[in-house]
Amino acid sequence: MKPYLLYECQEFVPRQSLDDLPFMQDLQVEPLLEAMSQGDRFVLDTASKLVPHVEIEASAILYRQQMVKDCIRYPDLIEDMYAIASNVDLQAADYRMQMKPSFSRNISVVEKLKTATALIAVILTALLALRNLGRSRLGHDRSEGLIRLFRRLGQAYPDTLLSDAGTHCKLLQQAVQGRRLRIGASLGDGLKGTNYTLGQMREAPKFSLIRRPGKSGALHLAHSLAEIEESALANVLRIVRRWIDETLIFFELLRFESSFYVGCVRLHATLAERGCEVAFPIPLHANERCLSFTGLYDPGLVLCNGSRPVSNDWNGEDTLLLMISGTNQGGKTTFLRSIGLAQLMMQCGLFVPAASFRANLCDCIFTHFTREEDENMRSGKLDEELARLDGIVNQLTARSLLLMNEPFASTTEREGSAIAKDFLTVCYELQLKVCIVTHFYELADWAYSQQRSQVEFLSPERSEDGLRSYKLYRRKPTPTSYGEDLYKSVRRRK
Amino acid sequence: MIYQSILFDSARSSMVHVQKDPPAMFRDIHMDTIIRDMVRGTEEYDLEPLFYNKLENADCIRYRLAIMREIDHGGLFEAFAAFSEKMRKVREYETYSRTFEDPDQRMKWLLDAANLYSLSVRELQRILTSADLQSQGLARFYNWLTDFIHAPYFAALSKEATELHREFSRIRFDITFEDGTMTISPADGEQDYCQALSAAFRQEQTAANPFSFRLFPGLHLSDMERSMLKAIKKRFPLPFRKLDAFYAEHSPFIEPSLLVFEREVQFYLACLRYFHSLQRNGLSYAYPEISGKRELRIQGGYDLSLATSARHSGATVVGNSFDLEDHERILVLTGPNQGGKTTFARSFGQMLHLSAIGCPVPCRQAVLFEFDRIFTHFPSREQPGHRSGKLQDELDRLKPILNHATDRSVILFNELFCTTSTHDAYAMGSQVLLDLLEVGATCLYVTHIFELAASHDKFVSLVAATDPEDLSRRTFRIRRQQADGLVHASSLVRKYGLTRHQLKERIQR
Repeated sequence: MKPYLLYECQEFVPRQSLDDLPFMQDLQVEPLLEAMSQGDRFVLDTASKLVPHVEIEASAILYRQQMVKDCIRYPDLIEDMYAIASNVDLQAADYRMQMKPSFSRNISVVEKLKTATALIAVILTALLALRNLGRSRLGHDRSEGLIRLFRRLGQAYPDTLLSDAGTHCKLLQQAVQGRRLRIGASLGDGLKGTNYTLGQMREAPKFSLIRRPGKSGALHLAHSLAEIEESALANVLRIVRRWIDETLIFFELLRFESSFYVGCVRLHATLAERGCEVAFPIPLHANERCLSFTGLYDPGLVLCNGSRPVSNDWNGEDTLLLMISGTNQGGKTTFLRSIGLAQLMMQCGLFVPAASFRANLCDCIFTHFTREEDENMRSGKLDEELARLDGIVNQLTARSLLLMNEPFASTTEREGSAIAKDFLTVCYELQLKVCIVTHFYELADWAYSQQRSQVEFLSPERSEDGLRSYKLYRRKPTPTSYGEDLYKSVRRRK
Repeated sequence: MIYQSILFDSARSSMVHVQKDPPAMFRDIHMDTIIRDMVRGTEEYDLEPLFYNKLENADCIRYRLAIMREIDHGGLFEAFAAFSEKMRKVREYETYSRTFEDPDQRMKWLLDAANLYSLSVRELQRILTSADLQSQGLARFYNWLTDFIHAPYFAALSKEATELHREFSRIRFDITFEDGTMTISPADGEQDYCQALSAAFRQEQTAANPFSFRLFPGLHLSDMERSMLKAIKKRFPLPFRKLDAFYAEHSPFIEPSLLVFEREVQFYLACLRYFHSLQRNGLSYAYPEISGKRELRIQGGYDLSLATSARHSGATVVGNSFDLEDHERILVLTGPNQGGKTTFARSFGQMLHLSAIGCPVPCRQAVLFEFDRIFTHFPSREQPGHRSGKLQDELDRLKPILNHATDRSVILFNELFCTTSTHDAYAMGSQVLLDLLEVGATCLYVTHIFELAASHDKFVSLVAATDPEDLSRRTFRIRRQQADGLVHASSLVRKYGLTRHQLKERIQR
């Protein structure tokens, strides 16, 4: 039995080494994850696996959106489920320790059975609590995920199973105290006994009758009785462990999957508290090319210092190449980052920091940002930058989203533009969606002069007095004097 | 009816003296390690010497190949493997029936051995009946086996063993441990507790007897078991009385000819097990046709020792096709280092030897010829001493080849005279080849001196080269072409692969 809260009928398989993903740093995903976890390390761990894991099926994304909507509507439900699952997971620590092959050799089967039956009692309580939660939710939830979870819980752990398991659990707890064993057997090859099986356990062994064929059958036992008990009860332990282990997997998964929604609910509450709007995005098929939004902002700024973010609108139904050029410090990087973050949040099933958001799904998100530490040491860095780009190209597909921030700034404008022209031409031909921020006028001018369709140009607004609103608008690239505005603002204060 | 060998066509050839040591050429063509791989796990049958000697003539080879093919394609491999596995157990039990201390156990082991023996032999006969055997060797064995099981002795043994064995297996009893006592009582037919527990947890069981367990380790009886047995014997006396009588009458009972068959069939099983495992790795094997002419047609041949090491490293082995006409005797193979020259020479030798002992060969299809002997002359592995000493060593090893080679021999030379100067190596090499051309032996001469290939118009020039487009695969091709001594240039390394053209290639659509 699987919870299937993340996918309709599939488990989440984490990608290896998510830490290496450059976009985690470039898009500043960390503050988002922190806001989801609010100090809960388990939730943080889940969020850092799930948020960067780009889902490529619209159905999977909509499945999660439904769940998120239900959870936002009834925050207590998901917190309760998470608490129940976490409790089982924590209580299983002793059991897990004892069953470790390296550890278990010194512990007798009888001891292990005691631990196992104690855990069964905990699990049965948790299952009962979950079933009751489900009963109380009948007719309230709208998401497939929750409705089907409670329905399947009823099928996998019906009342009869819970009561039978409870009875056996008590019986076993008594039996391991009572130390009476009945074993059936037959004669095998070479007159060795074979087919040894365990006889029925009696609830009250004292009252059962023992048939004795004669005095000769009764013999005094040596200390080997303990060994026989171990072998006889090993199968009981095996059965019990099989059930416990399966059920623990369910609770582990439930803890993991519910913690994602716990994170969503917490993030939502935080943003709402600060008066920021969120919307459920509309994912389009990966074959389409689209990027349209209203009121898009970078949540990182709100979450870090609570300041009101600048929001931007854009309508790019068919856009393949989005080129952002113009004034330094005009909010270009923030804009680029907010596009990337929204795409990432959409593709893990979250809401997005915008009033509305429509975009095609992409199978990978890549960021190629000039690292701040690189900026001062321009010479000799092109080699390093090309190596980084080489690594991206290794995995790049035509359905990816590539965000480039000041690429090839590690070399001269002429050389950098030449490399970028070739690169962008190929991307355009392959219908690969690229958003690029550049201060190379040569590059922007070349791109503009090509007059290609599906290519759009944006620049920050700049009023005559040089004050910046950090808003960006569609316009023809213009040559800018490098940092002229900054210089002006310095001079003005004098 | 007398049992006849399934390895040797006639009684006469089975008398052939079997060598104790492998032929000298084994090491050079890696036949020694290949055979060790084949017979691994069958040490008790001592099969290795069976792989040393080539068979006397084409008829003997065809006799074996027909049996091998029938076992392989007729679905008999599993049946024979299962039979010999059971016979191994029968022999083991039979040994216990002589060596165990406890008299009851000794007798029961004999009964168990006889029961298994009778079941296995009948099972084998039943499978062979439905197999519609075509090969002479197996058909003959089947007739013998059918006669054997219908003979009065086996029929009586089989009936008695089966019945008595059934009586013993019907004995069921319960053991109750309580308050420091053990009580034995006849089974009361109560359900297994674990079944009930497993059902309560809605668990499905796939195994037949999932919850039975072992209590007393080893095969001998412990004191506790002896006491248990005493109680059981008292409660069920009849089967034990019959056991006495059975032991007295049927010890020993195994037919010696069946043991001979069991060993002989191992030869086929070992071969097929080896080739099947290659097949699972995508490599084919073929049953060679033995031509009356001195011709050779190989499709996709490969070197077995390379295939074995490739399996460990995960590399791909690509086969090589090669034809030789009746009149072509002297082949000169040249090419760059690592081009697969030695590999080709080895696989050539392996295919010829394997076919001569009636085994499948490593290729997709093969027509091979009969020969009297394979000679090899490979660089010796001893530490090189003086140059002259080394050359002397080479000449010493060459002499017997020149003396004993006939027009039916096959000789594999690998870098002959590699210790001497190129000029000398050329002069002596061409002399050797001219001499052997006169003898009429088939001769593969692997050398880096490409001029040799063109030194006589009757020499066939072969060139080996790795595929320059794909250096990662250990592909090699042997082509008939003029040797020119050119080595293929290696491909350029393109630094980051970011040119327009490369990008288009690299980005996945």
